[in-house]
Amino acid sequence: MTVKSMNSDNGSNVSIVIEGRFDFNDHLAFRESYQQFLPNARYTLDMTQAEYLDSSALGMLLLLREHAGGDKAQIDVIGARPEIKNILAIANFQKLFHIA
Amino acid sequence: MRKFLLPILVGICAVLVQMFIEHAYIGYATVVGMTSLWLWVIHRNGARVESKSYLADETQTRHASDMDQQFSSLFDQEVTVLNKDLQRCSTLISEAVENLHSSFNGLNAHSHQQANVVMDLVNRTSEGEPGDNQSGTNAENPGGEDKVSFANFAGQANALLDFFIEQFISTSKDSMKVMYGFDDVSSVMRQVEDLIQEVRKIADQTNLLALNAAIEAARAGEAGRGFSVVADEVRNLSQTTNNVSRKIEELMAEAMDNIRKAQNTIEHVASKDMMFAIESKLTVNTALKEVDNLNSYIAHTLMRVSENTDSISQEVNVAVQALQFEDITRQLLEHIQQRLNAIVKMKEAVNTANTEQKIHEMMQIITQEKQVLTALQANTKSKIVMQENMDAGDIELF
Repeated sequence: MTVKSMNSDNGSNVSIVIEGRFDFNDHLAFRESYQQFLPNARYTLDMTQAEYLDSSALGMLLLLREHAGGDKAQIDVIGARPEIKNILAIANFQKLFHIA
Repeated sequence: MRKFLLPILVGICAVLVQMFIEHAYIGYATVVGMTSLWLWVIHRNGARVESKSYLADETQTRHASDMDQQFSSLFDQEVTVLNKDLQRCSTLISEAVENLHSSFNGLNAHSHQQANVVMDLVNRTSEGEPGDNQSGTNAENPGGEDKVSFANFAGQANALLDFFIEQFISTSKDSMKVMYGFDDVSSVMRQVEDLIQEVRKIADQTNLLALNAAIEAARAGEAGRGFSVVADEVRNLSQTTNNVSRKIEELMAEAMDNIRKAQNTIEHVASKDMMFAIESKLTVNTALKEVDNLNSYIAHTLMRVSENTDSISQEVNVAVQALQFEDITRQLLEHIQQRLNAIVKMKEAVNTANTEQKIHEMMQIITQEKQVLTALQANTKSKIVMQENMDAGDIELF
């Protein structure tokens, strides 16, 4: 997998693009993609090219949410394909993230 | 005078036959009785006419008298048989009706019991619809809590699965947090390794400097002897520093190795394919849907059973109502008996009418009995009308 992050408006809008399989091996890259940005930033996860999520990926998404302020976090998940959306739904993530 | 007897009796006969045309068996028996009576009267009249014409003929008269007696005994015999048969009919019908009554009452009671059982089942199956239990909080519905149903069971299984998935993802999250911690430790250790490399470089340079100092001390000869000792000591110190650094590097490598092992374990705990959850969820959802289908099918079937029970109840009511025929039939049988009695009386009057005086008495008796018969007929007709009216009404079971 590759993780790329970009920011605009001085780091207040962070966009993270996830491609391919998103699993345990990506723990360093994923963490580095957001660690440098402030908690109150608005995050957008672009999953258009994501093919697969395992449970550690779901755990990492929850850690991103924690980093972004927990219940105050503003995280949009965009472009997820039906299989990915299904996994997010089973994990009840629609209550924690804004899944479009 | 006796000439009128014939049309009168035939008239009575016709009325009786017409009246009992619906009760074939009894009508038939009556016709037999009446026909024998009629034949007997014709014969007797004929005999009397003959006896008037040929009074002198004693043999003829005796013959006629024998015939009279024969017909009379035949008539009596038939009337006795008819009476017995009527009695038997009455007994049979009342016994059968009694049995039917208790049987239908039993049927009705059982059908009511069945209806109650079915209603209980309907109530049980309609409670705890599967859709209600998605949240898994059955405590919100205290009434349905003690009701064990497939829907409740499936709902609880679903809630349990949701809880399990949530816990599982939470465990993954915590594991990843530990993983991030190890990442931080690894990063620090790499910095420490770099620093130790620096220490080793310093030790190597110190070693070189000590070597140079030793060379310079040897060149100075006797004057540099003391300095040579110092240079050796410095060299020893740099080598010791190198050894300590190597030792630290070895321990660091060991620690890194342990961290790597821990990370592998964490990976094993944290990363699981989510297919198991998807499949379990799918299985539970399918089960819930099937339970839903089964429930509605059972409810539908039970409703049909319940409707059938109602129909049985109605049919039993109709049957019990129809059993009222016994009352009317019994009265009809009594009427037949009374009619037979009237006919017997008429016959006896005709039989003994051998003088003008007796003929007069006979006519009185016949008129009297005719009135009895007319009254009976009126009574019978009104009963039949009553029975027809009863068919339309609703009868309470008793």
